[in-house]
Amino acid sequence: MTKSLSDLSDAERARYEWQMWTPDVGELGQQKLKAASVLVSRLGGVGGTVAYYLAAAGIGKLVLAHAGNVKPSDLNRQLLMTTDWLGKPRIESAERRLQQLNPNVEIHTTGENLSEGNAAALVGEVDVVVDAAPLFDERFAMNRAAVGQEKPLVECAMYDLDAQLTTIIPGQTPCLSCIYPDDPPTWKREFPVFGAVSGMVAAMAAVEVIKLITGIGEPIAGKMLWVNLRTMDFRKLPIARRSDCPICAGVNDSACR
Amino acid sequence: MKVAIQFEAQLRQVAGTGNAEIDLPESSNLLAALEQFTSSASNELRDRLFTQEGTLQASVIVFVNDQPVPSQSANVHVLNAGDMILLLPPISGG
Repeated sequence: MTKSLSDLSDAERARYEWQMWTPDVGELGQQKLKAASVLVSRLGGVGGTVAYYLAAAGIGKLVLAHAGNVKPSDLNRQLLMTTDWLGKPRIESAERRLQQLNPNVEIHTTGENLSEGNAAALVGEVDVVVDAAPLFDERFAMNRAAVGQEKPLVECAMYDLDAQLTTIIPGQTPCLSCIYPDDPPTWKREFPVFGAVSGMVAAMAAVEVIKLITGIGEPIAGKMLWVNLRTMDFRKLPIARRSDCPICAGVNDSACR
Repeated sequence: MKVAIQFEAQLRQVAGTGNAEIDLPESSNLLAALEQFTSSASNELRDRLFTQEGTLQASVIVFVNDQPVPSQSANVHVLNAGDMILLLPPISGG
């Protein structure tokens, strides 16, 4: 973490008491969460729910990127968007909801989606990155910036009742361009989704972030979790770095974090 | 020899099934197995799995018995009876 640890207030101890009971978290773990900063790209069914759980957990600073205004078709899954905010900026709805949940969290927002133009600056503001964009262009921009700055990147995505999750540790694990060396030609921006499915993978992504920051457990690094909720099959599959990857081939283990 | 194929997400929709089994000559490779399966399948499934040059789409993640197989190795990865091919299409829903 780039920010030094600070004491918790009595109000913070009261708010986070139950999660501080988690073995190996305690007050020190909560201080780490308070000192941490996380970028979440897009606040849809996945990213918005990740941000909600991270705010609840007491992450010190959230940097949020999402363009556009709230539409009726957002509301089946995007839990940070509200009916009374239809037609108004999504990023404002998200910030408002998160501050209602936890006013202790510092929130930086941009009403733009992630792009090659702003990715480096946004990634530069944080310790950990969460990628939940619906377009591969945005995901590749995020991957390039996170690997370039050696920041851990939690990749989470879904389609229908399927979902996938992996945590990219630059220099140690495959990056997104190792997994998808070509821009997938068949992916379409609109996809079938129940909020419960996007929320499921979002909750797991939030846990990955909490693990990375507090040091508890093991992140799903070098493996991909593939979940099929039609059959309730959960598979943890190995994934490999590409020696010819244009993004991460030159990044070595010693450079990581 | 019999080999199983499992499709997930969009591929499951396009294939019309999540699971299939194919009967192959001994020592068939992965590329040949998928070519055989798709020879009687829809154009859409073929287009999602293969490039115009006939190689596997690099954006489809392929596993055999839960071990990754790079798309460029599909024509040299020899299959065994009872192998399970898992095909994961690219997904980016957020």
